[in-house]
Amino acid sequence: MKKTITILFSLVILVLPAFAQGGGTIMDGMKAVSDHYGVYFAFDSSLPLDTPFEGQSFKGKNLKQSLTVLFADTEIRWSVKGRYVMLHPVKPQGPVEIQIDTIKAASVTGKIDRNTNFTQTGLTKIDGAAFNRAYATLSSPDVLKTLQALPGVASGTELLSSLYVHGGDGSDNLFLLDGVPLYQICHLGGIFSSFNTDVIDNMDFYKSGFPARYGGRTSSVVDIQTKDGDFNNYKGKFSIGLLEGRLQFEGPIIKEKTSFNVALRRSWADALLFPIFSIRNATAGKYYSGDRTDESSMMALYSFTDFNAKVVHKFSPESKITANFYLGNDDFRWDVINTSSEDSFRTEETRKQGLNWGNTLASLNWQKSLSTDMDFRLLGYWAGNRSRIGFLLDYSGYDLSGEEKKKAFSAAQDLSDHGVLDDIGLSFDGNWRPVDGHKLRFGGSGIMHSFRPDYSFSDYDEYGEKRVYAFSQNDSVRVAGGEISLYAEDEMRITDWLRANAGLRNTMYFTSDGFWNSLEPRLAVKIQCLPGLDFKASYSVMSQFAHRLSATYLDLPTDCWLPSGGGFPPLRSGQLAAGLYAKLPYNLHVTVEGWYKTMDNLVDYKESNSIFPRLDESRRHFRLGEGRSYGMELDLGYETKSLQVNAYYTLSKSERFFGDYWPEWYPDRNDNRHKITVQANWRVNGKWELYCAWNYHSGNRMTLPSHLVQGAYIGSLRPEFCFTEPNCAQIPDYHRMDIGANLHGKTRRGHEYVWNFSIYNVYCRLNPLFVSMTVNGFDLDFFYYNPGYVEFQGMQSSMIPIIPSFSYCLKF
Amino acid sequence: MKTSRILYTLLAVLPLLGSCRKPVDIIVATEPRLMLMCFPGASDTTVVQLFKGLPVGEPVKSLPFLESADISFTVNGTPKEVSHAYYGLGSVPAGCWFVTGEMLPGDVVEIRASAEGIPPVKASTVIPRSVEDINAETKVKNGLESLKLSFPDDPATRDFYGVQVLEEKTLEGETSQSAIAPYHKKMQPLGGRISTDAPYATIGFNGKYLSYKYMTDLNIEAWPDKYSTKDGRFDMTFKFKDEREEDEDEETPDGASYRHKIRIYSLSEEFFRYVKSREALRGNEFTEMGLAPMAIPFSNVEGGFGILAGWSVTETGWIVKSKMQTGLTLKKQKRSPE
Repeated sequence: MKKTITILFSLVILVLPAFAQGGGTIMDGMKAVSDHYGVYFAFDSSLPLDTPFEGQSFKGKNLKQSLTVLFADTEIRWSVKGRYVMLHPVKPQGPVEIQIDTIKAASVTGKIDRNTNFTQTGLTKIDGAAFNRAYATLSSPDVLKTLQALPGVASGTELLSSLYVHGGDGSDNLFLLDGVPLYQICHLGGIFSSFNTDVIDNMDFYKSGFPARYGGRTSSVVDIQTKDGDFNNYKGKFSIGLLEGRLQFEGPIIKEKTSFNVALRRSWADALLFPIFSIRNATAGKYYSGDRTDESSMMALYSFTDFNAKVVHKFSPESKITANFYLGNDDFRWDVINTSSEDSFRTEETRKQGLNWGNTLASLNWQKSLSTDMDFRLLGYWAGNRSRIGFLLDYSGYDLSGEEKKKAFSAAQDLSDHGVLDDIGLSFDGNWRPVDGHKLRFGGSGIMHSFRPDYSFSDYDEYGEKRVYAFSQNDSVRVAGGEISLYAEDEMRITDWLRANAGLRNTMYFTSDGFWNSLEPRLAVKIQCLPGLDFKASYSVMSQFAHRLSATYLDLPTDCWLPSGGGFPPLRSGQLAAGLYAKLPYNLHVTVEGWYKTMDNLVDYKESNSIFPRLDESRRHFRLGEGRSYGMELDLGYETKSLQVNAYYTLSKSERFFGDYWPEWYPDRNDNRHKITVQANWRVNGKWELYCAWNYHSGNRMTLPSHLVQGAYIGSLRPEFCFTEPNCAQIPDYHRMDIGANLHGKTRRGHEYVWNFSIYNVYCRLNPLFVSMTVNGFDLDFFYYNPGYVEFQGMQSSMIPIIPSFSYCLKF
Repeated sequence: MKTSRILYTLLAVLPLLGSCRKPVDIIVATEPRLMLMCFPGASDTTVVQLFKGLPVGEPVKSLPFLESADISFTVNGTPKEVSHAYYGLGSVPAGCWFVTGEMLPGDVVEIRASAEGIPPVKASTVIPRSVEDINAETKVKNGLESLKLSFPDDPATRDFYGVQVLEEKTLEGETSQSAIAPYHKKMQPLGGRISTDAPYATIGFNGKYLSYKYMTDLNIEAWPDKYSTKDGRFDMTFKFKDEREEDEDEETPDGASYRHKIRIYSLSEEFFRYVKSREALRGNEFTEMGLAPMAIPFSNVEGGFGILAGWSVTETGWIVKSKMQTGLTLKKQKRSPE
């Protein structure tokens, strides 16, 4: 089967270029230029873009030369500002302006960008500025929350989850920050993502039709490019919100040559929690009982930080080097001190727990154009992912009868748990346009992975001074892995109506446990059936060699990553997708896309009595299985210069099969049969911008008891719930509405400011977090036998009510 | 003043973030099903438990106990007489059915049962071959007592064993017996990454299981395919685990004399898988909230759920070591925090 696919695939690559040819209209030429140079077009729809274009070659021409060729002998004037190409009539009707964040163009009534001009299925391109124009959860624009709204993506548990794309398990998404893969992409169990939207230039999100240049994960690709700093002016942005603050500053180091862009984001939940707990400790932490006094104090603090820094130096217009640095950090502390005093004796119990996790990356990226038709990128990087869990227990007794406080006894323990994963990588990516209609991408990468989860535990003597017991298991689980990938793909414009992207990727992965070679064919085809109506289809195979071992479905620092090996073969997915993409009259567009996806070698935690997977024999505690997902997505949009409405609908099914767990296919926990999202964004005037979003999905699946048995075990009269089938119950449907507004204005000094007001879950629907069963109104633990009548009742637990929030952003 | 107002406002808002519960209509199952539990093996009485599983969904107004049932119990195709114990009868608790006669290794046991119009169930198991030629030695090294076990095992087959140590204590003329569970160094609690009360703490049976009590207390972690030697013998050294309180002075002889007996249980695969799945069902809070995978007890009962699993046992004679006669002098084992 694999051979057949490879042969067919090779034939496609060899044969398709033979049909390549030029011709068409100016609009076709614009699409070619848009794709070729990655630029966006903005234009007035009254322009005569259906004028025939004889298809002069763009070969050997840079962007400006190509535009000159394209618009020669027309009544269209063009200008390039950044990534935008603005088209005007020779006698313009009005001014067209471009700003960094928005196209503020009253006269622009149409635009063509790469979103309507790519070959791949399942691809969404999001401009960085779009994050600030859409609804922001808790007034904080967020990458993950934006992606969760898209069709084909399940959001999991409210506010606490990652991305589940086309039936994926959340650990199978490739997140690239300027080409560097990241592992930990969430703060606080998934409430926020690790990406600061202030520095995002653009983002490509692939759910299917993966080009060959991407690999290493099986479900989706999120490719984020950050902004270069301004080469001429200093400017920045300051934002303060309910939960976090952001500061971004950019400018030249050497004018026109070198620029910087730095951004800092930090939450201040700790600043809010500290006084709350201080008040609690001061007012409610003391109890008296006779001669005895008990005191209790606690402190819970949490914060996260993201720091991005980018320095770009242009050697020449054709050559630039970029240095990137990112640090993401989560810090959680939970301290409890209980003291008890009676007569001349005092006991103190101190429990300190700390969790710390995050990513650090540093990269150097050299981009050079060798000619107008050839350029390359060389990227070297180090990326580190770490998680630490610390625990300290000290229980001491003091004799206060003497003049000095004397320790009478002590029992102390500490625990330290580290998960460290380092990647050192070097990658090369080349682009070559040998002839018109072909854009070849090729390259390779080498990555050294170092997986170093470790654990230590110490016990101290009765005076808490000397270790009497210590254990460390770090050596037994350190694994190094190497990954070498090579790829080639060709973006072909075969005829005016037929385009294809064909590619092949080969990855070799090796650890001390074994060697794997993965050959991954990729093919995407786009056929223009009618003007404004495209058909696309794609097939892609993806592999993943790193497994996230997690005992929960949350992004927690207790997770650790280990490479394939020792009974864990690489994950592998195959996906077939196809769809119709139509531009309709009255500013409407519609997309219908379907997919079928299989996943092999999924990993699932098979114990449930601990949230700490044991590392040294981790394979024993996880099972391997399969997954499959299929469905249909509908995207209906309406867009004018002031109003944008998008409605997404997903009909899907997602299943799992773990043979030693359950002998049949069963629903995945994120098997949401229906998902609907409706978003509207209205620019009322130059000051006000309103938005509204409604989200609905069928309830998640849960494993609930199916039967109650009275006295299941001899000697016991207690009833017992029996779990007989995994994910057998569907909890109630989820829906909520969010609304918000942006108020734009200028300060007296002329700086632009934006007030954001938003309300999450505006009608305060308490959506189910989980459901448990009760019998005759009692939890089972408190239920006793009642032979007369047995009534079951599901009890839904909810957590997230209506949440108003605000933020203030000042641009300077 | 302003600051305190802000703080009070925040405190007032905080409860909004708290969780709340409300009733919700949810129907998981609509039909009752039978639950069968039976562990035939080296016992002269085999208890058959049959329960009515009430569907978790609509209200039910009926007695959950089965008044009567039609049970067919065959051994190698030959029917056995099944009796019902309305009242407790020796080792057979009230409400259960039972079959007399010991099962032999290789016997195929099949049970079919139906009751009250509930869909019938059936299941079968094979009594595993018992272990022979057990070589058991106890040793004392660095104050730590260990048990070295060795017996034949076919590396070509996947077999499952449980180990139990029976301790007999004689003090002032009175003799008492208790089962203790040794543990293996590869399965001892490591703390943190696994919880200390996890079943990995011990290896083998704790004796309670065979009296059909407290299934979750059964601790079993033997996989001879992994530990058997190339010459076809299961070869493993266990250590004795102290079950006494840490502050108990274990070094002080109590004047009692001890002797020990080793039991090696051969388990059918379904026995092993069922027990493992029961272990996993212990659950944590994330599991109950649907935020972690929920274990499902293994079942080999068609038409319903439950378990029919065979076992056999081989017992050594009493082992008396001079050191052990003063009790198990154990090195203090530290527990990690839970």
